[in-house]
Amino acid sequence: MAHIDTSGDSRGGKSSQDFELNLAPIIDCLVVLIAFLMVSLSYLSIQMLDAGITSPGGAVQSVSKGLSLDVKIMGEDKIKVTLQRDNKTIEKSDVLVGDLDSKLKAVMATLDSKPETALLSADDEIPYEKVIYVMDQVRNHVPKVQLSGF
Amino acid sequence: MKKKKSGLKIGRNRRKSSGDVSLNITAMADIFVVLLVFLLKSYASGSMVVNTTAQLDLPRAANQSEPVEAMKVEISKDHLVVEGESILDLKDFKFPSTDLLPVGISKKLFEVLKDKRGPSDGESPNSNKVIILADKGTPYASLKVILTSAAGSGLTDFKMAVRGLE
Repeated sequence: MAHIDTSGDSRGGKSSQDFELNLAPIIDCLVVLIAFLMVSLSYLSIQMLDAGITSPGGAVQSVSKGLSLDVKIMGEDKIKVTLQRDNKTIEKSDVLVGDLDSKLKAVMATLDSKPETALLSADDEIPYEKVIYVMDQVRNHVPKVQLSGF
Repeated sequence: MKKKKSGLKIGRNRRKSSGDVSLNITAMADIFVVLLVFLLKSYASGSMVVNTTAQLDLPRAANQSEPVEAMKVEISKDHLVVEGESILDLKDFKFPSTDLLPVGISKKLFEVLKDKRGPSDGESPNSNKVIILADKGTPYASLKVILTSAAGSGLTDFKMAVRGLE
């Protein structure tokens, strides 16, 4: 790669046109560039989680026809899950955060059709990390999650 | 691979001096070029560039969608930043009470978002999208203020910025 022979001389011996390309500065540039790109790439790991919000006040009414799932984060580890069909409660239970996935799985297994939207609300002091975690768990079972409680 | 291309040649030949060492960096340059091309390809495929202005610790999530370009609202412990510009000082994630309207809207955020959004033409697919970059310690009350303010100014499609699970 680096050695370029332009002599075309087959009689042997080095001609004056033989030269060796000095790769050291190129390597230096590449090392700096690669380090920069690797640091920049750490920002690219940021992804998006889709969320909607219910209109303030008329939250529940907008999605209450048919099947609706309400998830309310009560405290750091307590979650209230309510499943309604045509405004009638068919399932209501308190679960711990760690048991939410299995609970939702069990609830969904009893239904013939899944709810399209889940409403997620939380107490004011609940940290965002917990909200995102619960939203992530709910999205494993319901395609769309809307934030409510406004 | 032939011995003379093996990279590091240490002069053991009696005709050469005992300290003659030459490092063949051609192979190393080849590796770096391949790595560079790979990294540039990865860099180009990411459509979203996020320059966080404060120390943000984003939450992690497994369910993700592709990043999009949209207006960015960033909330950290001390600052509320819109499009890289700090617009409000917060106190431990909390909005100052003088800035809050009774309906839970931040006056300053509402005005800034409305200004930056401009008149809606309804044609641009990203015109009603907003990316929320919130520190994982942000209380839900502050998040509600941001969401309500953004919704009030016409931005109703929320994208929560998260980090992928490792």
